[in-house]
Amino acid sequence: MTEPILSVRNLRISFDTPTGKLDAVRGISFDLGHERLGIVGESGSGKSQTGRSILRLLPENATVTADRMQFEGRDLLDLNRKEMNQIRGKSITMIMQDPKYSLNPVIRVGDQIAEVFIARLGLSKSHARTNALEWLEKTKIRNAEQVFNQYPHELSGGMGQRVMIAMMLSCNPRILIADEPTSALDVAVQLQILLLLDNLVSERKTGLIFISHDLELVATFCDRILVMYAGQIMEVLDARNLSEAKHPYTRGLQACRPDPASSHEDIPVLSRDPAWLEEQVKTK
Amino acid sequence: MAGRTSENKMIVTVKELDVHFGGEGGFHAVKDLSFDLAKGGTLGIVGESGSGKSTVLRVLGGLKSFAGNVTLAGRQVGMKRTMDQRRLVQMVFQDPYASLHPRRTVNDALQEPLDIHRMDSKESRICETLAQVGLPVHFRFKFPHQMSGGQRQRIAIARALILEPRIVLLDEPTSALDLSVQAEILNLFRALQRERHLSYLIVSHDLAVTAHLCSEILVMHHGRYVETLTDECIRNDQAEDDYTRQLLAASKGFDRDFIAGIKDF
Repeated sequence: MTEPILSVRNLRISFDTPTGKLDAVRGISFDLGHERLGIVGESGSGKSQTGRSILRLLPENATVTADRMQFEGRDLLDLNRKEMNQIRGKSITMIMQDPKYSLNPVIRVGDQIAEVFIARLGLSKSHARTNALEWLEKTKIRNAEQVFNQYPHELSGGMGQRVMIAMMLSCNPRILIADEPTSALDVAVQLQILLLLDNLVSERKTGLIFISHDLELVATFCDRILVMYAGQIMEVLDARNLSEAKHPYTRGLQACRPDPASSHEDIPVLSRDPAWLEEQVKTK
Repeated sequence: MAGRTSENKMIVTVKELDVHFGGEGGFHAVKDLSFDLAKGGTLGIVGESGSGKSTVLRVLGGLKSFAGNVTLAGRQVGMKRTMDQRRLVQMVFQDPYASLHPRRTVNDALQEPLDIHRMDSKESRICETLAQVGLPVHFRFKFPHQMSGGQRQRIAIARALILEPRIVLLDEPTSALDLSVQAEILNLFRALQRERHLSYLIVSHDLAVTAHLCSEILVMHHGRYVETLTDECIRNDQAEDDYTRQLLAASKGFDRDFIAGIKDF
């Protein structure tokens, strides 16, 4: 692989809770290049916390440590608040599952996109407005002018996610983290959003971290997959070779998906081996 | 009399169902829909958001007013129902985090319906039902926040079953759960159906889940009936309607050529 955009070594995340320390991520290492990297796991596997830790978006009670979290020659964990703010929303951006919670409900969508250009690229108001409109068109929104003047609650889920994509890619970030960006959408809309995301990301050579619980979808969409379980990486796979997965956890996840071909029989359930808690793939 | 016997095989019959939100001039959610569910059978309703699929369940559960004919176990019903008619139909909702009262124990959740319906031997009913959904008896004294999503969904299922319904309405019952937990719950539904001869009506956006549980699947779009598929059709990718065909293809993952050709229906 060419020089990675992001290089993470021995990342650990723990939370102080009233009932004691909770280890959410336990020493994972990975590199991100100009690729679509999928992080797959079930709830509680630490996949979302990994994504958030890159932007240092974790709550106060979280402790994040890593031997290295290298991005553009700097270690993200060494940056102060001001330097980090320069990176957030500019060099590294993030799209979450539900645009309803990511967008400000009382500001028109267009103005929210324009704000990116004013705050990040220092454009004038009228310039920012034209750019925002252009971006709405890039996300294949047909009546961009009308959407520009709408409030978030007037948009459908798919439209909202297009607006988020416009906002998050408009300043040409090096990395885009997408945390379950399409799980709340209907299948056909989901695929259209993914295609849009894929086109825009590859045009700009942005590294994409795609976090999802849906192994099959990730296998058809991403280049490489990290399979996480209980805060560790169980297996790293080429997406094309999902069928050759070796780890019993990955295979178990594939098997417990209901298969129309063998309907009306019990689905094999996943039996979890306690040994998985202590094993992790070694990444060089 | 022939017509009558065949009708008796049906536990749910819906004819020309129309549902409006906000009165006649408001949103027309379900348009002229008719279908049957056989005793002990499982019918799936599949559609995208806004197709009216959940509204159909709410009508059958007595939670939404409607126009048209709804017959449950041979009796025509409206919104107003007798206690027995209410007991006959029970519902399991999508989100087990929202459907259980956060400050009531499992025991409270299971006892309340028994109290309302003045049922006897509450103790043994609670213990038996917990065992049937695969949870140990000491779960009686737990609060929702002390349980995982899958365990909560089991409690929601126990809450529905404890009244011994004959029809169970399942509204996206596994879409808030992890795949591995979903498999366990789907197996549980099948086991319960064998033991209790339940009739299921399941609403879902997930074709694989529906095809797994149902032998007949009704496709809805914008409140209208599109077509009925058998599980066989889904296995072999056979659908008459263009909309259904697109829905089937879309559940197969990311494929550039297919996506470029997606149409709005």
